[in-house]
Amino acid sequence: MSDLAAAAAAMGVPEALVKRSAEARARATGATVDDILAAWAGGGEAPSAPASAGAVDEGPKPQASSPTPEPAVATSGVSPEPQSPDLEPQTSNLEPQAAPRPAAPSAPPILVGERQGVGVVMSGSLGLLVLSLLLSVFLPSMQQPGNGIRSSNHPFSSAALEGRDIYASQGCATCHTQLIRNVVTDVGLGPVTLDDTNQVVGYRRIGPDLSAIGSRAEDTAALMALLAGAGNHPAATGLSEADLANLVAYLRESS
Amino acid sequence: MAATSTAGSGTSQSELNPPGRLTGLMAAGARRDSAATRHLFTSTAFLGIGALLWLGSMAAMRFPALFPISAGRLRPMAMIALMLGWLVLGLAGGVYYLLPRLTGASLRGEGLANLALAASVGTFAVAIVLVGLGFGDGREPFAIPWWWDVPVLAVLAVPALVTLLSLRERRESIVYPSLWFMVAGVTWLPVLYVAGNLPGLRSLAIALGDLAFSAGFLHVWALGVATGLAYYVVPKASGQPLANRQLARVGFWSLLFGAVWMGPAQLVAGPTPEWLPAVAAVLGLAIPVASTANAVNLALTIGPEWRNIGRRPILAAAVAGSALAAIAGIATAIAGFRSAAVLVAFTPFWDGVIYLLMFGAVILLFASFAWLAIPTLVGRMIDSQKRATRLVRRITFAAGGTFLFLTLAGLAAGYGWTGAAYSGLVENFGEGWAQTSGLPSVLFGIALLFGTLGLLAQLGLCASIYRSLTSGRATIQEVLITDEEPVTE
Repeated sequence: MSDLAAAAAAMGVPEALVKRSAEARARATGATVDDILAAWAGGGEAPSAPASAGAVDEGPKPQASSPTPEPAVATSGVSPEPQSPDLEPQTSNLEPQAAPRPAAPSAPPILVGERQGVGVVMSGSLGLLVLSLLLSVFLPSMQQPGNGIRSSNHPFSSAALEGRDIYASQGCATCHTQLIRNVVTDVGLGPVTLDDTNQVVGYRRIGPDLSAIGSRAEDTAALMALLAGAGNHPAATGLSEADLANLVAYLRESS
Repeated sequence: MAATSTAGSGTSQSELNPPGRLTGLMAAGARRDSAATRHLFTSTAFLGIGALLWLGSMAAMRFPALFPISAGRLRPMAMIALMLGWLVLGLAGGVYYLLPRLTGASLRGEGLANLALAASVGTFAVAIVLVGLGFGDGREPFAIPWWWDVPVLAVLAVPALVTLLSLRERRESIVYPSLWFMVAGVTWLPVLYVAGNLPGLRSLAIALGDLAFSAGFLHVWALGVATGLAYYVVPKASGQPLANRQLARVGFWSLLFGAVWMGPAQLVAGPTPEWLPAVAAVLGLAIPVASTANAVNLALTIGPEWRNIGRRPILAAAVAGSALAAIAGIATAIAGFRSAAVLVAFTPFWDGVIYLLMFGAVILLFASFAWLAIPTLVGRMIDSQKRATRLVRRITFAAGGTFLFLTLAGLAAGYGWTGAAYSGLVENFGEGWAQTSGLPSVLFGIALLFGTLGLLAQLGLCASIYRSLTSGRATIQEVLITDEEPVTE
């Protein structure tokens, strides 16, 4: 009779369950399945599960009536969760009846914390966010022309302003910037961009920078052809003739 | 001061989830972990959709003539699906899963969370359609028109509301590192969204707000909350206590300090005040400090389980995800300094960093959490640990390759612009890179190949999560054998 059959017979448990339990125990302990089956079949000591199984399943502890002495190493874990959520099967519950149960492991704590109010974290994080936004967004944006920055205050016609909104809604800024910087990589693209109300700055330069496209485009027909899908440019779909005209007006007046 | 846990003590499951105490709207449709379960599986669908749209948007940048919708519309559609649909819903599910376990109290407003989930799906789907039809406002990353920002903001505020309500009832006096990240994430999310979508601003303020939102969202909501989940997952899965609480503290506060500053660094030498890029560069150094501290802490926590890491996908995913976050953090910090920023700003370099964060770091941390939580949530194991381990390797490989070649393409483009500026070849080469046949385009093409491998792995993860519902082995509670009731043939 094999160890598996012997263990199953000794414990009155189906062989499949015994085998599965032994495999799980083997994975958990590093021992071989044969060793574990032999131990169970002979009533011997099976390798104990590692502390993790017990630790993960550690349930809530009784409320201490007196202050708990602080351990040298950070301790404790709260795990109202009834079972291990790990992928590894929970071996202790599948253990055959006749096998000697390992002594309860001195469960190491798995979560480490300390007593404190959540308010500290919440107020601290919110305070940092507000400070960061003030410094990185609002303060730089509040500068006005004449107060250390220059603005072109470029005048646009009403058609061009409508075209600017179409430029934004079509996502042109995904591939085109309207920002020529005072750095060597942008030399030759045109005059350095000043703070302006009517730009759509953009963050990616897949295609050309369009800050001064109006002064470089050959004519309106060339721009219309590009918007219709000429060259490698995607066609602007879903736009009426008027929308296209407004968009071209915006580009022509960007100079 | 470390301390022994006492809260939650002596409470049974029924006490933790009193059936009669949740009433009215807050209890509608609520059962234990229902919000976490629904958020997890719903967000996985958005991950699949978003991954497809993302790759499409990147391909549309390289081959614009091949796509009926331009990259300008595809990209925000992808970002809505990924950042809102997947990351907001999925990580909110993680928050809902952990809150009862870390506070010792039941989740308050579980019914509200479930209702908000349904509203979120509708809101995000409409937003995707609106942007696809050309109604977007062009503001990165979502381009959602301002009048649709209101319902989006409403659903983004729900995780904060549920968290605050639950924390008011907490019985656990100990605060765990996971809770720090979760609390910061849920409180930052709606505030960031408001700051990044204020209407009526002029161009510079719009640009700064958009960039600040993207940076803050990616670092504090996506990476931060995912790291918080990992601080729960790794000790639970390895059975080891957290290696160093002080290191976790460093990782948390550094992340908050540096989170927003990745944005302004991209506008170096623009019409911003002179001091802004300098401050951004210095504070941006906090990002690699945070991500490295968290990665080291999690790696040290695993301890003796390192020898089994090849067979433990939960741990492998957590370690790989946190390591990739550290790499992304280092790249972010380097790109913040002026000398590097003028070279890589506006180039695919930043797409590489964002890809590594989302599809390398966060997706692995998300997978780690999902694989740990699913057996508890649905009563079934992941269908195959081997397949899960393979997925970790594939996601890491694809994310690393995509990141590498996108950053190289960015560097090549930056150097190309510089060379063009010196040589006077601006008209032919210096104004963009997609229309050239130069090195940047080749590198970008290779990155797309890696991105395709990544897409397959991402879809594989979605399939792995869904397959657990149908093919996963039942967890032990369904074949429970007790000492008192031995099973017989």
